[in-house]
Amino acid sequence: MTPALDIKGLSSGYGEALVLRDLSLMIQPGEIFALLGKNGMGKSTLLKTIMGFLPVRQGHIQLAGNRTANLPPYRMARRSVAYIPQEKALFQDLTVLENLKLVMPDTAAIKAELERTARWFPVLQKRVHQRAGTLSGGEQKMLLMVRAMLPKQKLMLIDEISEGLQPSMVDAVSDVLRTERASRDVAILLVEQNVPFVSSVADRFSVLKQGEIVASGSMADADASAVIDRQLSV
Amino acid sequence: MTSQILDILTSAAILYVVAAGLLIVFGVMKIINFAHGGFLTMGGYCALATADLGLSPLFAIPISFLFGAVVGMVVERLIVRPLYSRPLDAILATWGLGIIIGQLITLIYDRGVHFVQSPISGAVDVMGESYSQYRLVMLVVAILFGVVLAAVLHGTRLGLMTRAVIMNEDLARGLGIDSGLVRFVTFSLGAGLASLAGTLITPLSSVDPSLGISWLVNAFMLVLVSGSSLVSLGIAAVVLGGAQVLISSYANPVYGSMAIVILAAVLLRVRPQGFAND
Repeated sequence: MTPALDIKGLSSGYGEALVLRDLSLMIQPGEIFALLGKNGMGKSTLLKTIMGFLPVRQGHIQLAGNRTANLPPYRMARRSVAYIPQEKALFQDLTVLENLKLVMPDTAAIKAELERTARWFPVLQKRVHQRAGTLSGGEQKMLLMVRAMLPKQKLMLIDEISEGLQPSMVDAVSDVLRTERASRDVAILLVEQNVPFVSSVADRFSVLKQGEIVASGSMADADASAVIDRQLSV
Repeated sequence: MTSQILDILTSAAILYVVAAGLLIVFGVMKIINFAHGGFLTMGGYCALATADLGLSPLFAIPISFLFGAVVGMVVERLIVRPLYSRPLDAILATWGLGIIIGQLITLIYDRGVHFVQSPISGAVDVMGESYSQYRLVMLVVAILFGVVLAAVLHGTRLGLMTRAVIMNEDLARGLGIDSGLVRFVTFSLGAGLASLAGTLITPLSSVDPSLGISWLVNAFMLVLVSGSSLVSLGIAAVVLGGAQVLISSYANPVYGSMAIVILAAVLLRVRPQGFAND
């Protein structure tokens, strides 16, 4: 099977400073992969590099078998990649509907998606004409999830979605991700620090430390949580 | 009193029309397009060329917009786009371009002053006061400018993408929006609007190679105090344009001509965001 995302020997960073060094990972369609690590280890840098916000210094990135290194971000989005950044991820002064229209011009399709996802995020249907900046933190995360799912992308890059969420919302996000994966084979790369959340939803994991992968495994492994905890506590 | 109120409103309208193109370019591209004065001058000469060809002055309106937009496309592609990542250099480049446009016009025409016949002349009676029909038409034109631009920004997909790029360009790109294309369209539209504004002001002003320079300074100050909001631009045009009219009437026209620059500078000192909300 052709991997949804295949990264080999990737080095990247900001200006002269290298943040990621010789990083390789592969995600299959329908797989949820978690990349864990403390702040400043390069997790968000990896997502920005995949999306084309940062240049690839060495190595390559392939999406569904096609090389994509150094394509601009808008081309990556058009190549079926949905990206949820950790910060400034919504247009605060646009309404919920306008935020969604940016990825899907068809209002009927938006309403259908809001209807489909109402069992997890019922509040969004009532807030379509409300400015995104006036939503609560949890509601903004709901909007981010719906926006990422709306265009039916093949790969989702999600940066610390669980941060600041109450447990019931984290459960809802886990359920949404599992359903998305099962229903349309989407590959999901989760960047996280929340180990219980990752344990509940991911198939495989890697731990990133100072730009390098220091541990990897399957979440089904009996010692997965212990390995992650050990790496994160060091 | 009526005539003074009309003077304030029509002066604000003229300022709004002149500054609108500069504002949308600044809003999207975060650069002050100093070639705006050159584009205004170009519009003035479009009106002159149309008159020389014996065409109705009304033909100058679409001609100048299209000519300005096409020149804007070429300028964005060849001069501004390579300097996206160097905004200060882009500002200097547009400054230089404004000078080049003025020199080219001097080569084609001359340094002389020309006058263009107004498509609408004469005066009408407004509440007992006789007032210039053309200035009143400019009021309608300014309102049309505002309505059409607001309709494009808030009622079309291009407008939504433009607002997204204004608010957060990186996020917009991450959602599949080609911000380069949005910049290209915006700059071309801004140049077209500037050229159109140049044509519209010719009945109120003589046409010469430095036509745009005097307007550019006021337009620049208006944009500085308006951020990227068309509503703020309208408020700024009424307040600062109104002050210019009142100071010219009650004090001295020389002081009046400096009013916009001085008041804008004071306003920015007191309230750095000017008339904008944030």
